[in-house]
Amino acid sequence: MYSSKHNQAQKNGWLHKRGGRIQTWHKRWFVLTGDLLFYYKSPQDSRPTGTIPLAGNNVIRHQDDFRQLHACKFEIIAGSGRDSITSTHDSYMISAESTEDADEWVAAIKRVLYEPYGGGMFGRKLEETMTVEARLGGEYVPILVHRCAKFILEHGINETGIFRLPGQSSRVQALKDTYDCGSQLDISTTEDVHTVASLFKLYLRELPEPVIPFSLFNDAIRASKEIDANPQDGIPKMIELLKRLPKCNYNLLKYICRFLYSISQNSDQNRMTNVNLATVFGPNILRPEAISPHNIIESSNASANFCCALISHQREIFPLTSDEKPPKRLSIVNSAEIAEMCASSKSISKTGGSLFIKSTSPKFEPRGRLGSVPSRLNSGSPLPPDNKLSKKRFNMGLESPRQARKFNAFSAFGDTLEVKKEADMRSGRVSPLIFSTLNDDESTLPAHVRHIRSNSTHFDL
Amino acid sequence: MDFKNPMRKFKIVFLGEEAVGKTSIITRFMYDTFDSNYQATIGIDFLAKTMYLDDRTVRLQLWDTAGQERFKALVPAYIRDSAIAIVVYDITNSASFDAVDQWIEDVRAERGDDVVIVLTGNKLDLEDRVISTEKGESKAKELNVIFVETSAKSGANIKQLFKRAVLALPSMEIEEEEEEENKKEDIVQVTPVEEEKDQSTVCWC
Repeated sequence: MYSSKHNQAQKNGWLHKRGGRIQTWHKRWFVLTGDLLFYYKSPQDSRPTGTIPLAGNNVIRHQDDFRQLHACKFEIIAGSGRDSITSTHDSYMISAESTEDADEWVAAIKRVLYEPYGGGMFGRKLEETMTVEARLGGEYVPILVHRCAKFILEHGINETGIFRLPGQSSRVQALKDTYDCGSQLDISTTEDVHTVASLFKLYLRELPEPVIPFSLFNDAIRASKEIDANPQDGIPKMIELLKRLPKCNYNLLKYICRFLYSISQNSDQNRMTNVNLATVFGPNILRPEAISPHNIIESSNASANFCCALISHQREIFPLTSDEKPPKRLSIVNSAEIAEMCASSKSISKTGGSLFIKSTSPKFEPRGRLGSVPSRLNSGSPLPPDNKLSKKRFNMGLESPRQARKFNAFSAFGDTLEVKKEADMRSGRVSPLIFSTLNDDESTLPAHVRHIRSNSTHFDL
Repeated sequence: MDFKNPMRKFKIVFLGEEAVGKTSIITRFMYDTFDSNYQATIGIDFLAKTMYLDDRTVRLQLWDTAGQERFKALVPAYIRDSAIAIVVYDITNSASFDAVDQWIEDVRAERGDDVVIVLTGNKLDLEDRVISTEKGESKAKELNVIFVETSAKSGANIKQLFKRAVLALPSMEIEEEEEEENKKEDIVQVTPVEEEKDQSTVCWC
């Protein structure tokens, strides 16, 4: 009976366990099955020497201390409201041979403990995460990835060196632990954006296999070289290659590329161009199976190139699908309305030359009673509803170059519209502004808008 | 092994978090320029420069590492045969300062005390400093390393940084002592190894 458990086990292996009453260390064969951790004197034993119930308890990973014989320890401690785990043990102190082994065990135990609450996702196969999260209402990408991306777009899109600068490592660890325990909460708005960016990268880096599986590493590198040489021939080949990805990997990659693209669109503020983003992000999504000092430079160059090609050509490489294409809409607001929106909206924050307006107020929706712009331009439709995969970006222009002031606006992922200004937008002059989604094909725009666009020097969002 | 030998080479590794200015310090030292482009370093770069210092001529090999987390696992391999480790932080970024302990620990783990470590607070030219000079100094004292504050942008203290690092390298007298040490190594020393306390005969499980 027990031997069959060895086969079904989520994880098994040799560990050292500290005794309960007399605290001596013993080498034991551990088997994790369901929410029970069995230990045996040898793998051949049919009856376990002991059983550690995991449900309702917690696990902590102790700091490695290589001055001690048992350097890499973790401890299973009683959950709240309990004094001890079993009659013999208040807690179970266990040591592994290496840091990696201890980390793997803790990750496996956390999965058992926190999976029902959506936790334990770090270090877990993407496919499994997606299956688990589907039950919790997850969608195309891991919930954590979406939360991080949303947070960064709302709070850090203009942050210099976003994804390059490190977050506070203790905060990154704390956030990771919170998420690993299955927190479904949004990231606190007081969190530093670099911490969130580091968490994002950490999640990707800890995937057992990168978003581009090891088996496709060489092909991916080759495809990105072909794009460099000749985009017209290279892009279809890349599209073909990416069809070989598992569905969840493809979705995540697409999401990341769209997301990084919108970050790079603000590189005049955040200084993270495609190349910079690709350099710091590339190795997290594409790397060879074995990294050594010999291949690191070559492989990191290659993954940066690959990532750069994907970000730069994301629109062609990942064609919009019906579920993410926002309905075509064109709506108009003027600066008086924006001022009104600012005045009425509940949530406005101001940073430097930018205004962030939370679109909680219905007044945010542009309406059709606008100054000098012909009414036929105004479809009067509200901003598209929050579609998690859609990149919602809005160009905002002025009617004539003479009135030109630089406005950029976008609403990305969340329901926040950011209005950036270079000139004073509260000058009191009513200048019609035109919103349109970036996905709109230029040729389908009314001639009048196209004229405005071509006359305007700042549609380069 | 002689300082007066112009071929004497020293490997210098640059460590520290992303965007603290490792590449900029090297560029300032090598070419006396500052590139205001914001460009992340890929993997590891290698440059060499000859430095003339009083009566000595030394050849410095500068190894510029990418600060990204991905590469941290590989850093030990690069530290291994280094003579000088320059651990850089950004005086306007407290996270980069907090990471200094880990970087220095990595160097010590690999090289022990056989290495000159310089803690360098960069970006002196910026006004929004969050790490005071005193804080940097006391960290350096605590970790027993040299301390310098620099600005790769203005060039302030960059030459001094390298000068102080090179001057702190073991001098010829110490090398002679090392030879003495080497002789001693011929004698095999036997030290008792602590026995494992695993008493597996008793089981209380």
